[in-house]
Amino acid sequence: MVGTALAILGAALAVFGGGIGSSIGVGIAGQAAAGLLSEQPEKFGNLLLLVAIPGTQGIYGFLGGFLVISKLGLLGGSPISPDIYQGFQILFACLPVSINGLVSGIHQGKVAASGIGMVAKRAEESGRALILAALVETYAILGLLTTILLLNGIKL
Amino acid sequence: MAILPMLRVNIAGHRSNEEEIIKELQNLGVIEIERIDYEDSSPPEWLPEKLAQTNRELSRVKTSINFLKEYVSSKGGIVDIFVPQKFSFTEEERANLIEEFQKNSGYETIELWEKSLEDTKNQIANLIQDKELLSPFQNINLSIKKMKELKEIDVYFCQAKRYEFDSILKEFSELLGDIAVVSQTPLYVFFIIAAHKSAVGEVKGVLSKYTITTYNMERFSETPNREIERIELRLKELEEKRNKVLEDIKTKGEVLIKGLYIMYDDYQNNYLRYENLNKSVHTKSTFFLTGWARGKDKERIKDVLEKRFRNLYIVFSPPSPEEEPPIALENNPLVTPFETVTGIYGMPNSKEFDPTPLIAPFFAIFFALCLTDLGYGIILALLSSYLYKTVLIEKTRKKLLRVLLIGGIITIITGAITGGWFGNAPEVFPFMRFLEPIREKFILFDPIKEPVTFLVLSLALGFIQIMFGLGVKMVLNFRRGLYKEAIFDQLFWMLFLIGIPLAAGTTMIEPLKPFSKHITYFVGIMAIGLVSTQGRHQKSIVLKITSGLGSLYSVIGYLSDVISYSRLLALGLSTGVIATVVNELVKTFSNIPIFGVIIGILIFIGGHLFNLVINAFGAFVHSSRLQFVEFFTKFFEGGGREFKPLRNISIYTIEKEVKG
Repeated sequence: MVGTALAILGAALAVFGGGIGSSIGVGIAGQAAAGLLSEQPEKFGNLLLLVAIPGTQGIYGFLGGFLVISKLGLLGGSPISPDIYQGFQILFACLPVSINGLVSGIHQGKVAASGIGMVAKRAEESGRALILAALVETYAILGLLTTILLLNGIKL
Repeated sequence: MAILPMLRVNIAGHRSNEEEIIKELQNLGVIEIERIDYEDSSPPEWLPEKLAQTNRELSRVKTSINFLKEYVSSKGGIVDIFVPQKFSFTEEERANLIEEFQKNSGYETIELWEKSLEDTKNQIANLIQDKELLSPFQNINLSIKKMKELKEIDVYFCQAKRYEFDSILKEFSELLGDIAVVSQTPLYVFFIIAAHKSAVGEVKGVLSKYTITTYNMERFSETPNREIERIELRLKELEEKRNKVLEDIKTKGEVLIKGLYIMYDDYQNNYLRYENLNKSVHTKSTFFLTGWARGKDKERIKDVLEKRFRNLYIVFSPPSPEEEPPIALENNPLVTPFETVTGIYGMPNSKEFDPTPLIAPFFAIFFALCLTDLGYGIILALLSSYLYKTVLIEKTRKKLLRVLLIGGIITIITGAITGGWFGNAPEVFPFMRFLEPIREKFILFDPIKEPVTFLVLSLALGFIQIMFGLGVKMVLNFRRGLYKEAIFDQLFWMLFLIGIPLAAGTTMIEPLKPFSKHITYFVGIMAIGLVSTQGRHQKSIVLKITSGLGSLYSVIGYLSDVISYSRLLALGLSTGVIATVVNELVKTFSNIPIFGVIIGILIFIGGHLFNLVINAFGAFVHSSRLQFVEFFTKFFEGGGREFKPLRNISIYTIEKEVKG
C-alpha cells in the first residue's frame, strides 16, 4: 500500500506542479492582456493565444498524472499495487514534468506578458511574440518527455 | 520558388497630373514609393491642410463608428471575436450606402442620438437620486412648499447616525423648536426639525456639532409621496424615450454604420495617397518619384500609365549592388500558404533565396505528428476549408487557413498510422466498434504503448532536417565560390554527423556488425579532418590545433538540435492521451440513466474540440520553432524588408469578388 501511496503522490505532484506554474503564468499574461484590452478590444484574438500559451504546462502535468493513474489501473478495473521501490520510482519519474512545469510556466507567463506589450504597439508581431514564449516551453516539454519515458520504463 | 526580381522605378511628369497618377498607382497596387529628401522641393501648398483635414474627417468618422458599434449588432458571431469580419460591397452598393448616409444626414442623426441618449441617461440618474432622497421622508403628509412658506418657522430635513440621536434629542429639547422622527434604518435616523426663525444660530450649532446631513428640498413642492409618484412617471417617460431612440438606432443604424465604414476606408486611402504625394520631389511644374516594383509588373505599369497620361517618363532599372530592394515572394499554390510561417521569422534578404519551399514539407509533417489523430485531421481540414470560404478578410490573411488545411490532411495520414481516431474511440464505444478492424488495419504503431518508436521517428526526422539544412548551406557556398567553406564547414560535418549514428547502429544490429569497424574508422577520419580544418583561421599552429579540437564541441550543439525534435513525440502523445481521457470521461458519464447519453455527447464534442484547439495551436507554434531555431540557423540569414506597395487598404470593408 505504501507503494501505491507514493505513486499517487507522484501523480499529484505532476498535476499540481504544472498546474501552479500554468496558473501563475496565465495569470501574469492575463493581467497584461486585460490592461491592453481596455484600450484595444479588437486585439482579443491575438491576445487570447498569448494568454493561453503558458497554460500548456498544466496540461502536461495532468498528462503525467493521468499516465500514472492509468499505469496503476485506478480507473476502474483491477488496481495494481506497486511495492515500495516501484512506488518511489514512479514518484521520482513524475518530478521532471512537475518541477519543469512549475518553473517554466511562470517564466513563460512573463515572456508572454512582454509579448503582449509588443502586440500593443504592433499587432502584426503577435506571431513572433508567440515563438518567443514557445522557446521557454521547450523545457516543460523535455520534462514531460522524460516523465513519459521513465514511466514507460518502470515495470510493475 | 523564389524571391521575385525587383526593379527600381522612376517616374517624372507634370505636376498637374500628379494626383491622378498616384491614384492610378494606388489602384494598381504595384509600386512602393520611397521618400526622397530634397531641400529645395516645393510640395503643393494645399497638401498640409489636406492631410490635416483628412485626419479630422477620419477621427469624426471613427467617433461615430465607435458610438454606433455599441448598439448595432455585428454579424460575425464567434469568428468576429477572434478576427473582426469585414464587409464586402460592390462598387454600386458603396455608392448607394454613401448616398443613403448623406440623405439621412448621417452625422447629425448620429450626434442627435448620442446627445439624446446622454441627456436621458443624466436625467434618469438625477431623478433616481431625487427619489432616493425623498423616500425616507415619505411619511410626511405635508406639502414641502407649505413648510417652506411658514413665516415664523424653519424646517430642516435631516439624517443622523443612530447612536448620536439620543444626545441630539436632548440638546434640542432645550431649544425653541421641535423634532420628529420620520423613518429609521439600522444605522440612521431620518427626522425633521421645526424651529423658530430666531433660533437659527443655535440650531445650526447643534447640526454642525454632530454628523448630521441636512437635505436641500428647494426643488420640491408637494408632499414627498406625490413627488415620488411624479418622479416615477417621469422615469417611465424617459425610459420610453430612450427605448424609442434605441429602436431608431437599431433600424437606421445599420445602414449608417455601413456608410461610415466605407467612408472611413475611403478617407484612409486618401490619407495614404497624400502621404505618398509628400514623398516625391516637386519643382515648380514637375514632380519626380522613385520606388520599387516587381519585375513582372513592368509592362503593366507602363501600359496603364502611358495610355492615360501624357508628358510622363517612366524608367525602370535593375537595383544597383549596394541597394537593398524590398522582398516579394512568389511560390506555387501548395507552398504559398507557408509564406505565413516564413513571414513570422522575417523576410529573407535580397542576396538570399526564399526558404519557404524548403520548410513547407517539414512543417506540414511536424504539424501532423503533433496531432496524430485521424478524426482531428478531418475536422481541421473541413473547418479550415469552411472558414476559408466564409470569413470575410483579405485573401493574403487567409493563408494560415490553408496551412491548417494541408496540415489537417496530413494529420489524417499520421492519425491512421498511429491509430488515433478521436483517441481510442472505436475501441471504447460500442456504436463505433465497426471501425475497429479498419483502424487496426492501418495502424503501424501505438505511441502510447511504444513511445520509443515515436521518439526515434521524431529524432530521425530532426536529423534529416538538420542535415538538409547543412546541405543547403553547402550548395549556397559552392554557388558563391566559397569551396573551402563548403567542404570543411559543411561537407565534413555532415559526413561526421551521419557517421556517428551509423557507427552506433551497425555495432548494435547483428547482421551489420562487420561494417561497424569501417564506419568507425570513417568517423575517426572525419573527426581528424574537422580538427585539422576548423582552426584554419588561426595564425599559429598551436592555436590551429586547439581551436580545431575545440570545434568538435559543436557536436553538443547538433545533438541538442536533434533532441529538440523530441517535442514531436511529447506533443503527439499528449494529443492522444488527452483524447483517451475525454473518451474515458464520456464512458463514465454515459452510464448515468436518462441524461447520460446527452451529457456524454456534450463531453465528447466539447472535450475533443478543446483538445484539438489546444494541440493544433501547440503544433503550429512548435513546428514553427523547429524551423526557426533548429533549421534556419543552419543556412538562413533573413533581415529583408517586405515589399509593401501603395495600394487601397481596407480596414472595415473589402471589395466584393465578382464571380465571372
